[in-house]
Amino acid sequence: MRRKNNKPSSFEKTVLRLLLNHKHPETIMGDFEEIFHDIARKKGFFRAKVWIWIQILLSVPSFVKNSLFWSLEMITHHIKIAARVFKKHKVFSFLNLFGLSVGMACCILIMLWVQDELSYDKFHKNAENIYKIIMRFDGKWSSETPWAIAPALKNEFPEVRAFTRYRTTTLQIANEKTQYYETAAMVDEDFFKMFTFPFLQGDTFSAFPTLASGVITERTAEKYFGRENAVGKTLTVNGQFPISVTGIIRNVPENSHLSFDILLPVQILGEERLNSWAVESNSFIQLDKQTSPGLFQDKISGIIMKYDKRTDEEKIAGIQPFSRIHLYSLNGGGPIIYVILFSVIAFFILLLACINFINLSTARGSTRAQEVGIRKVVGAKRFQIIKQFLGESSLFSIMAFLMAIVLVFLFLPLFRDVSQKNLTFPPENFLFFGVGLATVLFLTAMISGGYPALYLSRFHPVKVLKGSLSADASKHALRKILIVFHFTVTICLVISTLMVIKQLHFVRNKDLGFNRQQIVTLPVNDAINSRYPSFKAELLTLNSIVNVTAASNSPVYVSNYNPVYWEGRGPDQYKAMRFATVDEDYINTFEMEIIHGRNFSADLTSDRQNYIVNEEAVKFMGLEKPVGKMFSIWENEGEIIGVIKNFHLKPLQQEIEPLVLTQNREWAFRYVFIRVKSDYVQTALSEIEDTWKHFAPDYPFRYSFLDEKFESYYTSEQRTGRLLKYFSFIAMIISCLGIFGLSAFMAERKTKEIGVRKVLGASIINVVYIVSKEFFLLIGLANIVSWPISYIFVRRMLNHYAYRTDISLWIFFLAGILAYAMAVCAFSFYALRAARTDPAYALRYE
Amino acid sequence: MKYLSRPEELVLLTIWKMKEEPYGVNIRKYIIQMTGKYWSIGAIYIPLDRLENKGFLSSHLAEYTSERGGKSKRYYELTKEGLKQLEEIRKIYQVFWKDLPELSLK
Repeated sequence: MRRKNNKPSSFEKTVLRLLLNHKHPETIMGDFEEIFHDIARKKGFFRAKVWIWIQILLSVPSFVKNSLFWSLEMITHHIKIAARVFKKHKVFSFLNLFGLSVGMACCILIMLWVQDELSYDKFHKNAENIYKIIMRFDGKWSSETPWAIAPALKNEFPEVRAFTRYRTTTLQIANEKTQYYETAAMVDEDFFKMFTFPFLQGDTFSAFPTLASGVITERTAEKYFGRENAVGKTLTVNGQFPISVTGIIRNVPENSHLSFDILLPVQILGEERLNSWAVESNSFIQLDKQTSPGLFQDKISGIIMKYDKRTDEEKIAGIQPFSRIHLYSLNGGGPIIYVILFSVIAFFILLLACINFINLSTARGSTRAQEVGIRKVVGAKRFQIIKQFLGESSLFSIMAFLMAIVLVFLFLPLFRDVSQKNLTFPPENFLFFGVGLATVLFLTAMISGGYPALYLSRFHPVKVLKGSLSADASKHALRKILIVFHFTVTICLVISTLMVIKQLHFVRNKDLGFNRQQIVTLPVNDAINSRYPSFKAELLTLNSIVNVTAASNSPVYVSNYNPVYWEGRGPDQYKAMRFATVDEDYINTFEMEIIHGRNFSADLTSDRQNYIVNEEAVKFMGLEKPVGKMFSIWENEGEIIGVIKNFHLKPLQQEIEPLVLTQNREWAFRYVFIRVKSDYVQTALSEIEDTWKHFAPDYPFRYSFLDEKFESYYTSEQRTGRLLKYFSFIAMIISCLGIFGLSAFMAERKTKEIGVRKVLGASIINVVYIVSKEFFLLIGLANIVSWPISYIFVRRMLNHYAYRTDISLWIFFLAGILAYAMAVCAFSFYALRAARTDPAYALRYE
Repeated sequence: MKYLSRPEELVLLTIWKMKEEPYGVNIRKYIIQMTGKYWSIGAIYIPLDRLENKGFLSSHLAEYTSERGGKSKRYYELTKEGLKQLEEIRKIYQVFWKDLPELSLK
């Protein structure tokens, strides 16, 4: 029987061809096919198949041995050459490697930070469908909404699956053994269904069987009950209300913006309050998956106006996606700015490091034209040269990568400390991350090795050997563009860094309008509140104390907000103002300045009805002579008796708002502020404690310093600012390294030119000038390009601060001068060295 | 003069002696037949290449057949030097074998 096709399959042929190492593969393949055909004809197709596979298998071992041996030989050779090249240009190579690894390490650290920021609140299974209800009032969005809005939405709109109110407060929690202040969150029972806070004990459906129930976190349980089982045990709230622990949940993750130690049913506040439209609560709702948030927002915008009949104020409801709460402030800004800023910096650091690497490798590559030429003469194929150079640059970039990883591990503890984030390396989704970095690394290696590999290997060896190629390598337009780009980025970075530092310094040292030093703050409780006058009198007898006052709000953060009325208010002039209930020593204690009228007087009972406003309020009301004008808040009519100078009643990111000070005790005092003498702080504290024990023996003595409290509003800001400072500083260093390397290289390339000029009689200064002229022109160009760019960038960045430092021109000049100085230093060092040596030596160079 | 290895000698002899078309498959067949031992394809081509490099053989492409998958045969033939070499080898062997009539261990 004759088979129609007595031929080996194409697969077999391909394999055989691959294994074959002969100058005439066609001939031998032909022999194989002929023998195959022969066997197939005589002994059958199957035997032929067996035969050819035996042939294939038999040739594998020697093929492997051969190729391994020779490639190993070549690899050792290439590594040896790479090491020699590295040694020959020690400084460049080190700068090169160091820059790239520091760049990569920074990039990794920043990405860890960014990833952590982006991961906030994403761990909830329903995070996608949960929204916070927000309210637009008086032109601004606020996150506090009425108690009754969430139930109303649930009743009216079927797409609302569940809702919860959420209000945190600090409570004193005690059992027989111990007592602390804890952050308590009051929530509806659906809270546990909406959010993913897994129960260790107890369950989602019966979290609050009675009003006297509480769910505590693992940490709280351990604090109060140690290793004992906490469920069913009793805790006492504020010394009066017993609650029983009904569940224990896992500790709140760090990347959750909701944070609490204990959860209580919101119903303990009473039906009346929960059904009211008082704006006191945060509310979250969970929508159906299919609901479009935009349409839903349009539907609900009028809901407050519909139900809340008390006022004619225009309050518009809206929703904010839950996972955006951490990053986006309601009225613009928020940590997202830093996320973007950091990502930009990370990008630039990596870009700069890569460009550095590419620039220097390319520059160095051009000096290796002779090597390429010799290799070709000896018989290297183009492919082999490409392989060598790409391999070499890959080797360097892999080394840089490994160094970067080591650096990350070294600096991670420090970075954790500065960022106050519990970051881990490698992160959980390292695959994505690692693939990204590997890609960047690969591209860097390919581009940096690409010039010698692809460009130099292309030419005829004679042409390369004559050296006509290496001479014009430095004249490449691409090189010039890269230099200008590099300097531009560097100058921009220097300018932005200096501006960031200046802004942070400005915020830190801004005059707040009151003296926040040496003020001890005590929280007020019922015991103190009822006997405040005698408590105050007792404290004032102490030698270590300068002044005592009490207020509903600390001056560093006034949050209360109420509609006000004044004499001459226009019908369309509607305004709610910040207000604080204070006693008559408030202004003196904080050393605020009265610019019109007078302070409250303790002797005048009528002053209980009177008001003091700040300049901003006067400006808003448009009153020319505010003192003596009628003014009211909660329908309590009185007159304005004084105007104080503006002070910062909110963190400095926000502008100063109109403020009213009143003595009206409708709002209870929440803090006592005591100014102590600076040399007697410790004595004062112990004396205050004694007094406290005397008046409020049942309450733990707890105090804080106002300036620390003030700082605490800025810690995250300061922290991020500090990180920003560090990273832009590193970016600056990296790009300066690049400049240094590049300048040094440029100078070295001109050694021969310098020699020739010297032989012809040029002076050293003259030579250095001529040689560096072009280079410095490029830097000048970079300056011109970078100034407007960085101006725009800095302007936009500063716009996020309500109080900002001015953009100073000297920073721009300084950055420019710095870039020049770096370049001059590196360039002239090498140029001078070349210029001062014997011209004969210089001429022999290259 | 250059000495050849045993396989080279045999391949050279084969090409000189064989009547069939002198290309890989036939050379191998002939040499297997004459020696009675297994020769792999590679074992043929290594001496062939070396002989060619040394200038004792020359090769050219000839006709192709469908059995060979349309690939040309490569014919090898002796060069003048190759022929000289063979003569040299024969001379040496003759000198050596002359006074050794019988092979046996004493």
